[in-house]
Amino acid sequence: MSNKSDASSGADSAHGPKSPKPNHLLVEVATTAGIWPSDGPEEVPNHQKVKVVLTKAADSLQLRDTSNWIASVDGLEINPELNYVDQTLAGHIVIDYGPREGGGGRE
Amino acid sequence: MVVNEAISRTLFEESTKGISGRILEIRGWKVWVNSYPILEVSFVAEGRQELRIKMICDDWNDLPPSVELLSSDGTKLTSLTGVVAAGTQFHAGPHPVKGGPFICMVGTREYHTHGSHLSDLWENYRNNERYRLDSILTQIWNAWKKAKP
Repeated sequence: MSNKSDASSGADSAHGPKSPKPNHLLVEVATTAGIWPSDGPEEVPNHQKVKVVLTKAADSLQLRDTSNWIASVDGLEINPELNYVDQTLAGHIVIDYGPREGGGGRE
Repeated sequence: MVVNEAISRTLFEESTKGISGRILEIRGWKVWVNSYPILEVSFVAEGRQELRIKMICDDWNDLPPSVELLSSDGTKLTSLTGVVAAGTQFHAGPHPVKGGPFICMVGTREYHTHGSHLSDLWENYRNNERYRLDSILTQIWNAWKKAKP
């Protein structure tokens, strides 16, 4: 699993990217309906289940049906029912969120 | 039934307007055409041959998009070899109507016009959010990621 950490620990917005406070991480959710949050990453507790931000993103982006959607970070699927610590996710992550491929035909 | 072109265009634009900006960088997508009735996007990833997807969306959404598989230079693929592994969604072909390799997945015209799936009507899916054009493209991308040659 990805473990992205910002190099500029403790930097403020004038000197570099924001770093999360202890036991938190920065999260964005990317979909073809838009990126949530629109004004920069959300700082979330690292023991929070991933599905919390996915639900917020879906509500904000007006995604009505995300059943069978998959969430992934750096190309690896993650489990929305687990938290970030359990999946070794830290720093600033971007969760790619979209529908899983449909089943193929049998010709 | 021939769908009203203005309506088809509006639905196309609504369904594809988000295929721009940061999501392209995040996913490794390269947009060649995003103008009704064509959505043409390449999937790019390290260690993979680029796959260019051309979605022909005439009569959208009365009809699902016809999906062509192209090489990076825009020529139609005659084989999947080296590009993507044939399997569940990517079919080596030939498609009985169009010929050549094709994507056999709900939401593509090639699926719904194949003799094996004529009873699986597009009508049952067309109003489902999962079958917007951006969602169909995402499904194809997710299938491509898993189908390494």
